[in-house]
Amino acid sequence: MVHCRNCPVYAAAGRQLLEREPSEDYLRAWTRLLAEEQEEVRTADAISVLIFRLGMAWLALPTHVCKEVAEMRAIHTLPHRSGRILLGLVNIGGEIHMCVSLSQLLGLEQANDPSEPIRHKAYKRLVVVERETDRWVFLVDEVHGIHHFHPRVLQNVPVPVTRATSMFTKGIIDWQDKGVGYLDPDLLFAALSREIV
Amino acid sequence: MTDNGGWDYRDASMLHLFHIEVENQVALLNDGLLALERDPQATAALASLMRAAHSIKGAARVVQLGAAEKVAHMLEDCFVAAQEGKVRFAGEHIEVLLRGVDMLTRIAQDAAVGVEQWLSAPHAEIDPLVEALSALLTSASTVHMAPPTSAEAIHPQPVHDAPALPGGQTAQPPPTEEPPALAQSILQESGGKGRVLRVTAENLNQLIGLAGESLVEARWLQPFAGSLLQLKSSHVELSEILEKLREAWQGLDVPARAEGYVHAARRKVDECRQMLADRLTELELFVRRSEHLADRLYRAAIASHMRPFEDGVQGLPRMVRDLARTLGKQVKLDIIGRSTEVDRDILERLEAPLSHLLRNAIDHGIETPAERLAAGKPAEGTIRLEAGHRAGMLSITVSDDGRGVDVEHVRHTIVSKHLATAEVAGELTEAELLEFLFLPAFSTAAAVTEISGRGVGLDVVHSMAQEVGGVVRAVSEPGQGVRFHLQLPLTLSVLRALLVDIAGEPYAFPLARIERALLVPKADIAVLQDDQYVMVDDHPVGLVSAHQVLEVQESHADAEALPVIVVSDRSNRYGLVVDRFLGETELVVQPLDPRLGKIPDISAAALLEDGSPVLIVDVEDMVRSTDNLLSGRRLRQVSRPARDTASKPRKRVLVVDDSMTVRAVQRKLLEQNGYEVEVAVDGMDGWNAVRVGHYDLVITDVDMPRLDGIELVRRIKHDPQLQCLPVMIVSYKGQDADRLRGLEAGANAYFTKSGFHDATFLQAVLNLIDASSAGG
Repeated sequence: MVHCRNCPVYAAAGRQLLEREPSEDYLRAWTRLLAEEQEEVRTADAISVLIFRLGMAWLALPTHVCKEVAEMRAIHTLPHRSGRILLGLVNIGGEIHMCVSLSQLLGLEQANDPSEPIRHKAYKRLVVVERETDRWVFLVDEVHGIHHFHPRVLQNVPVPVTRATSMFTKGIIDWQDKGVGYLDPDLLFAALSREIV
Repeated sequence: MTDNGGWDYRDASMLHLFHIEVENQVALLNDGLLALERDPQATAALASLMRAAHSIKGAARVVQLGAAEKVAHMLEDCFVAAQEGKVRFAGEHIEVLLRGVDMLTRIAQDAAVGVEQWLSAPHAEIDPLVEALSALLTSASTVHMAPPTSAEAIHPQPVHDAPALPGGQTAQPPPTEEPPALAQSILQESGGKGRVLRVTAENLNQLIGLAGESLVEARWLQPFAGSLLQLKSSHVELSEILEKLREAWQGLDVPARAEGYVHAARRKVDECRQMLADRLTELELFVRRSEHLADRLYRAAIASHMRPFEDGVQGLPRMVRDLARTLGKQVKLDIIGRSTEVDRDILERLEAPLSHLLRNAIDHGIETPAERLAAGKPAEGTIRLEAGHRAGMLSITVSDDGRGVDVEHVRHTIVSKHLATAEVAGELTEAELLEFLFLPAFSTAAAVTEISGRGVGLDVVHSMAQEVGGVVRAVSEPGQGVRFHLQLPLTLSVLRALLVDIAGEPYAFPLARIERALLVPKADIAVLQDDQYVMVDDHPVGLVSAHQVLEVQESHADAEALPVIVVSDRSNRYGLVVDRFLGETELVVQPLDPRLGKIPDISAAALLEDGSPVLIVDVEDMVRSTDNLLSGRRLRQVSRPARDTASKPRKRVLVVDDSMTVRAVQRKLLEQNGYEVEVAVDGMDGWNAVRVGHYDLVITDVDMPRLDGIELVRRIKHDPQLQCLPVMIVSYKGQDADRLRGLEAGANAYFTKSGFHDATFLQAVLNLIDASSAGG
């Protein structure tokens, strides 16, 4: 069948289609959706965080201190200096930076659970955090990505969290049915400098 | 100094820290003083000036540099007086204060390279300066009238150039001089050249880092392209299999459709092969282009490290003129090769050795005009400073047309200083004799003058050359002058090194700093009193495992021959046993993160071709560590804390002080006595620390930026969880009022820093910690 696209019948049909009244349901659905947007977190005071995993713990740091997420690379130990927290030096973008163990600093158990599937190794990343001239690289077992939340939904730190971790945690973010520890960057940077310098 | 737990407060790393600290504080002092000079009303600057001087004073006392302490103390007094409104500084007062600041820089620089002349406070250069400073306290109140007495002492001349004459008088050419002609011509010359931009070192290092990384990435492409060749050969195999399949069913009754498919498959494979071949050619071209580009980018980035020689020598003509005038001589300085490209790190380090050499030449080399005329030379002496690139090295020559070195006199001094017997000295060649000039404290000058205690200066030249992997030589022609040749690497940013494996990780030894690298068969190793040694060039060389020196995991390689690197300084020679030689390589040196401070035995880091980090060994440091290790000093130090941790958990102490040197000293002292020490850089940092970490004792200074010690104590004592934590204040403020203020805030003990080196300090720490653990 051949249509003539220039005749007025075609135009009228088209107009009819495009100018039809939206259905009540459709309007209601959109009204609800747009109304909800107000509740959404992308408001001015929402906090943007990078969510990552250390062993069994999911943690978050404000995005503005996270400079880069890099692939796992060789870490060179520092004689006389490397220890529990300072692991050594690592190459990030052609520059050599100090690499630290955040799980040791926070007092988390090592993630070397033998039952953990090996594929997880593929997710290991280096996270570069920076504030002014203070720059550190730390090892994480997995990076989820950026997440936004409103300070209002921040929950208090439950008591049974280990002492060291709770010290650094500002609150708990509810994310994908997991409790993510929101770390205080001020305390983190201060503690790292003190451990190393 | 003996009751300090058995170590030297003035060891090299402490002086290094002191130097860094002084550099930082001096920048603040200069800024503040210049702000004050522009606007004498800017009293806001005084607080930071006072704090900076105060910090240096404390640090100087800790490293026992009496001269620096004295100067910093006077500066602090001046700033305090100004803050209290008792005096006001303007014009020439600022000049005196700046001279004090310059002196601090100079002392710290000298101390860091091992010059010991500043140990004692009474010093011919210090005393007039201190007098001039204290004169400010009384004279500066009358701002608009320049008092004649202090104006004499505060002649605005850079302190380097104004050696004090006996009797505390400073040399004083009239202050309003025409600008030195040479300096002007330098300005004119450089005006015509390419524009120079100010780029921060950090920016530049980042650029070099990224360029290096892109080179590493580009090199990855070649093996990748190679791996695709395998795909190509697989295609060939596939094509052959299809051919065999066709042959195999020859004569059989095969449906035409199947025949058609096989045919199509073969055609497709051929198509693939062709396509792959085309792409591979393109890829290879791209690889070559990108490697070439990355390589050029890298070289260009490295080249940006270079600056013209003249940038580093601008101050010299003025210095030569002033010094010659003081000594009543006529000297002209010719600088040749101004535009020679020099690595900016080397240029920076050239300043001190060059001015030592020039000072030497003027003081000892060039004769007085009368002597010169009598010897048939022009009254005006000439010093030539020449820079150029020769055989891939930077060559710098300082030559004068003076009287030269009296070789026989050197020979005589060698014997009288018991450096060699008369027979040996008698057989030394002239070149060998001149080598002795570079020994520390070897001076042939009958009277060591303020201008150039010859031995000290040449020692500095020698150690600078050695540090950067170069050599220095002297040639003397009696009556005709002396020539000093410095041969230095073109750049410090690229280093040729021997790569070795120690405990599974790569380390690099600078080729210029190692004597030999050899594989020693096990049979050649002899044992003497528990020490292993091997004969190298008919001399026994003690063998030490590099793992032990670096304190890394010992590996148990059972090779037939041990890889050994022979290293030495002037007094020791050792063979370091490593796990494996990996080969020779060229490395781009990257400084270590300054937050780490000086790491023993390591000078810098670099990246290998595969992008993994490698540490560059500080050979001189390593020889020293080895020496310490063998003489058992460190062995004891290492074993003691280990035993303590095994028996009971160590007590934790937080040290809060804004002086890096004080922090380091307190940490070392406490750690040696079995405490675990953490540090905080100011009150705010300390406050963050006590809330997070668990401590048994806090030791804090009073004067600190952001949050002072008193407020820190107050906060701790008001916190319901922390109020039981004992706090000790260690301050310079020894007045009863200060003490009372500290104790009122809640401090458990108050110490003045002068009482800091003795055992009562440790006893107080012990008392406080025991009291707290008994109480809670």
